[in-house]
Amino acid sequence: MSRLAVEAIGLRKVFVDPKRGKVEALCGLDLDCRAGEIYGMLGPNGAGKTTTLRVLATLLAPTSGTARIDGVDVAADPLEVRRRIGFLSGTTGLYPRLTPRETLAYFGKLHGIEAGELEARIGALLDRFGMREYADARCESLSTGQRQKVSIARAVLHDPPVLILDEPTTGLDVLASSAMIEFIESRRAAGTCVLFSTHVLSEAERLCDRIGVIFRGRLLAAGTLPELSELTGKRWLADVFLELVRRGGAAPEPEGVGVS
Amino acid sequence: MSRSPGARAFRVVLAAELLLLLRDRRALLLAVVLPTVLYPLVFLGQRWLETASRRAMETRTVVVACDVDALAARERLLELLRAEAPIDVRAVDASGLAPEDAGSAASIAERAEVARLAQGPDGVVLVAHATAGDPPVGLRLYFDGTNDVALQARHRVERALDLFQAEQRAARATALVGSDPARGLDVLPVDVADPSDAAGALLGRILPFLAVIVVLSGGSYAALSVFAGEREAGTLETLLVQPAPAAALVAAKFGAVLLTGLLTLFLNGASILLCLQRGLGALPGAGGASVTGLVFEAQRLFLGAFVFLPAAVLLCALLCLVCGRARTFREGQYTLLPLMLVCLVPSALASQDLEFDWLLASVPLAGPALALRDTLRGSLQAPVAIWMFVASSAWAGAALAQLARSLGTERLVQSESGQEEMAQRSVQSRYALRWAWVAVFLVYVLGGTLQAWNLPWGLFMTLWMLLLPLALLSARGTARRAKETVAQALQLVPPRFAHALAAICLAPAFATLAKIVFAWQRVVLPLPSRVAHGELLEGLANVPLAAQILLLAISPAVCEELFFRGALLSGLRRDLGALTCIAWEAVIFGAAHSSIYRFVPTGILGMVLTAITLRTRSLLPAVLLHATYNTMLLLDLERPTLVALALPGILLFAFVKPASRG
Repeated sequence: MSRLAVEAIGLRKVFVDPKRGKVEALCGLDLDCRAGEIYGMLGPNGAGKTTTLRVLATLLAPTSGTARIDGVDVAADPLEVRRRIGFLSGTTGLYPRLTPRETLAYFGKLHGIEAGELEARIGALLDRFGMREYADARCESLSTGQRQKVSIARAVLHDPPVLILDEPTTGLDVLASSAMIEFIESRRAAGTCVLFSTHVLSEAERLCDRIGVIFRGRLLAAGTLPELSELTGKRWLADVFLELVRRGGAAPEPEGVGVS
Repeated sequence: MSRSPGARAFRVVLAAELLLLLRDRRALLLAVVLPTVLYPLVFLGQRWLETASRRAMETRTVVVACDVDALAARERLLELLRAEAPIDVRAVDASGLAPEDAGSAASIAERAEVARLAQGPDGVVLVAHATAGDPPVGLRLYFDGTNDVALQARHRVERALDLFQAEQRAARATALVGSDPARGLDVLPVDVADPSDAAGALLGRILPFLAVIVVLSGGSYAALSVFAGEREAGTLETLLVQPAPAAALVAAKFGAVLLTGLLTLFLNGASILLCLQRGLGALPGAGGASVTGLVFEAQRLFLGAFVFLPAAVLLCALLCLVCGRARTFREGQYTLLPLMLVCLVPSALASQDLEFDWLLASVPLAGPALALRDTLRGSLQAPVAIWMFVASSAWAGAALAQLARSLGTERLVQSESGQEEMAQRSVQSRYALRWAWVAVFLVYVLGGTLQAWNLPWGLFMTLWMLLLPLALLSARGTARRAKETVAQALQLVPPRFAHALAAICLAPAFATLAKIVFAWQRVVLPLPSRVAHGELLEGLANVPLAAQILLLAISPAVCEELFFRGALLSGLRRDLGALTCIAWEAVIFGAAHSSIYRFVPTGILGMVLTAITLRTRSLLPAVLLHATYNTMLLLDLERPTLVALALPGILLFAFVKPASRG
């Protein structure tokens, strides 16, 4: 079995919202993903997927519990963790007045990649994603699909061992989202660990080596699709999901929890 | 790697931010193009207009109708008048103008006669008439003081008369004593001020204020772009997962804002100085005369830039603080306006004749502004300047520290995730603010007009027939959106008895505080005498005391509280934190009193009343405090001994919890 790329033990995250008071977004969440594995986090809106990914990406500090990326503790050495992850979310934007080439150079320099090597990597990515023809046009003039490619190239520029994708297909049309899915699949062969969240069951069904179901800040179950089917006695992922949520102590609330 | 990740991130982010700003047409226009082109254009246009109108006036022929036969040397006077070309001198018979009523206003008949003799309102009439005493002849010049051409004619006649009188005086003196005894007593004023001191003094009066405006305008766009713009583009999250310390990112962004602000300042300064030095523009000098072709000393300008530096750092840090909290460009622009207004007040002190002392040197922005003024004048005192630099650097450092703290990663991401929700939520506060500005405007224009017409009725109508309906209309919209009744939105609920009592207890302390603030303010901002002498009360001298109390104490308390702490706060408190609500209330309540002299005292009162309403969740304590406070000031009831009542008042507010609602 390959080594652990992402590991979380008993993660808790409590927000203090001035208007709502204390909000417990994560209540003791455990997670483990291995190198070369595509792991899908499945859950309704507000289940804690985004919070989990943000804690792993060092954007939020956990209230308690530990998380390690590629063996590095997120609380102890956040900068080292950030070197080892590529992060992308559905709402990620680009600097409108930079070109794709400049965007890649900017983030490459922030990662401390040497000039010569940076140029070679940018060249390779421009070819790999077919971005040559618009490499020197400003990002504000690009189409949604083209921008998506720039964002993906930016996330893998420093060749991270772990990719964290927060609902990466949100807001994409069919073409762009299938390109994203192809990209995620391609990372498996490269030995990268891909951890992504979604509420689209078909994506998870098609891509994931393992699926973790998250509900109300807890991991209800995790495993391959056959394992989860066996556990719940249901065949389709949608039924598996509903069964897990039901067993998790609460029937899905009628509002806001619908699986889309 | 030799360089630390922090230093590397700082360099990379700063370069990228500057590149982004450089590619932003609006930023370039505001920071570079406008200042370099604006001043020459404004100065040139101003000069062109001035010379054009002056030339038109000077070349115009004016009619001077003369009846000076009573004068012995009349030929010489007419000669001198004709020398003041172009003058059309006409001999007329002005016997219709009676010389007796000296000093009284011209009658209609007199006015018509002058117009007839001068052939229109543009001309003037010069009459010499015989008098009974000594001297035997009196001269009188009739003109229409509202007519520019007639004034010009008067000016020329007076010049000729001055020469004529001097000649006559010298001639008479020579005839009497053999020589002119006044010879050698003419005064020729000689200004011994160093030319660069004089130029610096003129510039020092406007440059500090201008510098603050310029840094604010150049820096604000940059701050919006690097903070709010980054959020709006959706790149902030990406930036924060790069291996770079958050402090380095904030420092780089601040650096970009500071550089933009300083660049704008430099370009504006260079442009205005070049214009003044080349004589392209003029500054109003002493006595209202324009002064051109000023000489500036480079050394002073450099020193001036140096002493102003802490102010620029502070301004840019404040801009970053405000824009860093803004979730969108628009929200940032919205919050920048009050900041700018607040920053302009201390910097305006430099145009006043204030001494740059230790106390003022400690005040943020005021210290550097006064130091800049004195540097340009060449009168900067080194010890005070050094203290100013230390104090201002401390202010700037505190602002920077606050900036670094408030922009912690977690906070940025959290507020990012609530962006849409917040955008929706700010509907109520924006709605209430719009009504508030409308009210400020209407009170200024309509209320001012009404009160000028008739003070007691004007006040009554402004409060009860303008402000009250505005409050109800504004509250109705807020209530409808929040699915509440208007009374609920206005917080018209009975307060705790303890809170009502506490409000009354606080009034004496605030009445005394108001007097102190006024006294302090008078040092900084001298009151014009008509404001100082209670013009307001004079207009109400004939009104009975009970009506005065009703009009000046009770009515403002009820109507103003219903609008400001009722309708406005009702909208603000749904979207904004307590401190932001209090700040907005202070600015708008101060502005609503439409007087710069009342801005600070009313602003403070607005803050306190807002805090009390937020704490008690009822409007009535604020009404009570406001009414008691007004009455005490009106009847001059404030006594230092009563101030001690504030302590139980504060304790009651602090420890008695508000009644829970629904």
